[in-house]
Amino acid sequence: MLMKRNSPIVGLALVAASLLILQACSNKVAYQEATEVETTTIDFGSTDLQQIAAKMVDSVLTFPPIVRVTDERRPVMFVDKIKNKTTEHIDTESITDTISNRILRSGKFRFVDMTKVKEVSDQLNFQNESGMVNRNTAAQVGRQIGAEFMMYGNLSSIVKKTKDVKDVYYKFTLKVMHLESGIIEWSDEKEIRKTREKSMFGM
Amino acid sequence: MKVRDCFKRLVGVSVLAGLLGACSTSGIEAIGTPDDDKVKKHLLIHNDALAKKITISDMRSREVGGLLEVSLTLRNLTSSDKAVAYRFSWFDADEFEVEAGSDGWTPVNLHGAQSTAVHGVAPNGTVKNYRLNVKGQ
Repeated sequence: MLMKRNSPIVGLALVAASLLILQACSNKVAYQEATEVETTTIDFGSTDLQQIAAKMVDSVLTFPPIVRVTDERRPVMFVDKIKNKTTEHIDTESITDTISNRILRSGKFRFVDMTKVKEVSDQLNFQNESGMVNRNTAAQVGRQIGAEFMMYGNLSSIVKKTKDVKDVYYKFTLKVMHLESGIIEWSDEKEIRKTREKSMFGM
Repeated sequence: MKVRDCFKRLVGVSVLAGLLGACSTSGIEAIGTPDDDKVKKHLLIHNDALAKKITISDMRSREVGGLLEVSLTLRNLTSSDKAVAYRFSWFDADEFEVEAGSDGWTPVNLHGAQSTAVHGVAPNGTVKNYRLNVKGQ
């Protein structure tokens, strides 16, 4: 008797539950905008990388002493590794790649790539020593331009968590040093803070 | 009676969860409320609801080292916190977008009635115009 009275409600509940289960089980793949705000997890993500790169590039290109130097010429810079002092595995080379790419495309600086020294050396040796390359077209050894500035920095984090809340604070510090004098010509920081709270349903 | 109440609640929660899921979809876009004629040419309102909550003002620009530097103020017109995201786009003298897609959306949380300045620097010296897009999170 009780079942009979409740049968429409039971049916509705079953349909609703089935829809929820179907929704939960379905997979959907879609392309997204690469520059969209990404909050899939609290870990270091693409939005953090883009925010850091934008802040650092804007800052270095508008810093008055750097503006004075780049007004007259395009100095050569090399990018040292960014030290990852966080507990996460973060590809810091990807951050410096984005920063150096933007600075290069601004037309204000030129870069030398220290990760390709061996390959360049091998190629120069091949062109000049192997006897297989026309000497008139071979790139000459000893004519590379030395870097005037070095870019380097670090990424650190402070993580705090309770049962329901996790708080992550990132600090990215970047510096530009004049290699000959050892003077730091520019430095800036970008801070990012993110929190994750457990939702009401524990999901 | 208890069984019926239980089922009613289950259905209610299911419908509510579905509605909440639907409401969390992003994609709305607003570009503030024009303050004057000078600003108007830069601002387009795509979302009236958001434009009533967030406004863009104090649009300033200058040239630094041959690059266009801009500063704008985002103001929360409500008394509650608002999470928005903004992005700059840059255009040359021929209205071609420069370094399209290189600037990402930057999230910003505005407390009730809070104002914050957002800065942008053009990617290179060919930029003559810019656009700031603001959307709800």
